[in-house]
Amino acid sequence: QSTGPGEGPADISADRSELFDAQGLVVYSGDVNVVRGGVRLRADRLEAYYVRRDTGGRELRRIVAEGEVFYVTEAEIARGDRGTYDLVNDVIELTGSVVLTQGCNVSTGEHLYAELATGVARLDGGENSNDRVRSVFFTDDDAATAQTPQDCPAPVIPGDGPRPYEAPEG
Amino acid sequence: MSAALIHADGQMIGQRRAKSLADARRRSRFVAGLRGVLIAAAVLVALNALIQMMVSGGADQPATDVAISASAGESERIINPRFTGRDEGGVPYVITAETAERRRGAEQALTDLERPTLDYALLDGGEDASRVLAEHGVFDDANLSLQLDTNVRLTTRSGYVFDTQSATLYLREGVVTGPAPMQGLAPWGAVRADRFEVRDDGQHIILEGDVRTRFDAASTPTATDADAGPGRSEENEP
Repeated sequence: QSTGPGEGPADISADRSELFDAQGLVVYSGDVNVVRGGVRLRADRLEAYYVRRDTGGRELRRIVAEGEVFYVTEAEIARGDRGTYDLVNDVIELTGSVVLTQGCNVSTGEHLYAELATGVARLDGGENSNDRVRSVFFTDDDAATAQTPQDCPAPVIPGDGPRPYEAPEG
Repeated sequence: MSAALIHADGQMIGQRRAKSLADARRRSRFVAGLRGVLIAAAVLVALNALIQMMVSGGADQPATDVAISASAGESERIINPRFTGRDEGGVPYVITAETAERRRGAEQALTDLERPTLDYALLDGGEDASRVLAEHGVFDDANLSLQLDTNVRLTTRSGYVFDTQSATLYLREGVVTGPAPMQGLAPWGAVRADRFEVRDDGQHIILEGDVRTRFDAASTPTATDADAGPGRSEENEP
């Protein structure tokens, strides 16, 4: 049962994690990957914040990522120094040397704001002038769509990739 | 009254006085004797307490007393074993098992347990704390540790469940370590790791090696939650 962006369980894998239940915090480190409904977030280190529900359960609310942060969907790959994932409002933000790659089109800026529910993304520059948003678009659709991997190599995402949680049999 | 009669009376009074004096003296000697016995007993009790403390390793070593119902045969097989004591924080623990066998010679601090249970603050033992932790266990009376093997299941009071094949509880420090791969449940979903450690009454958990966690769909907000707003606990909102 495929889930759309911003839906379903969130699988987080890493080399190590440390859990502080009283604070509602799990700290992951070492090739951290979050996968939730077709959206993937990758980072060197990541903090997952959850709250206790009145019903007694818990609810994952917010994720803060740092270090080689990648936001990956089928259509685009964005990279930044830091990132946040607000699960309540379904918003991912990347900041710091942001590079957004969509096929052959590449844009750079300082702050990416992506709404998962609508698919709308906004890229902003930084405060000073040389941090303006810059983009390279391939206007010729055939060239853009007929590209082969060598023509437009996708950004290399560090690590081994996400390792989904597998429930034990029986 | 004639002189002879008076003289007889005098003699009788004298004898009675001498007798009561003797009784009094005998009674005070008896009381003095009792006082001596009491003082001696007090000294003995104090000495015994001192010796117990030295034998059990001084003040910081939680006292462990073993209630041995019966022992028989060439190895010390304990029926209805029950080990009680306290951790460093003074938190009590009670270990029981279906059967127990204390090892001999150099390893006599070790006791092999079958289907041990542990009633201790860190672990949620269920209503009557009778939840079996594993098929086998080894209780180390000297280091106050309980090593568990084969189908180990630990449930913390903070709501985490760890299934593994090997784990050790260090009762003095209140820490659990699991060197073998673990599959478990969390109040928010599920976890797995190659190794794990549980501290601070289950509030602090460390997972290492191929860590995979799942926050269930029920533990993640859905689109409708975004508008739900109030009614959900806002504690420790990041």
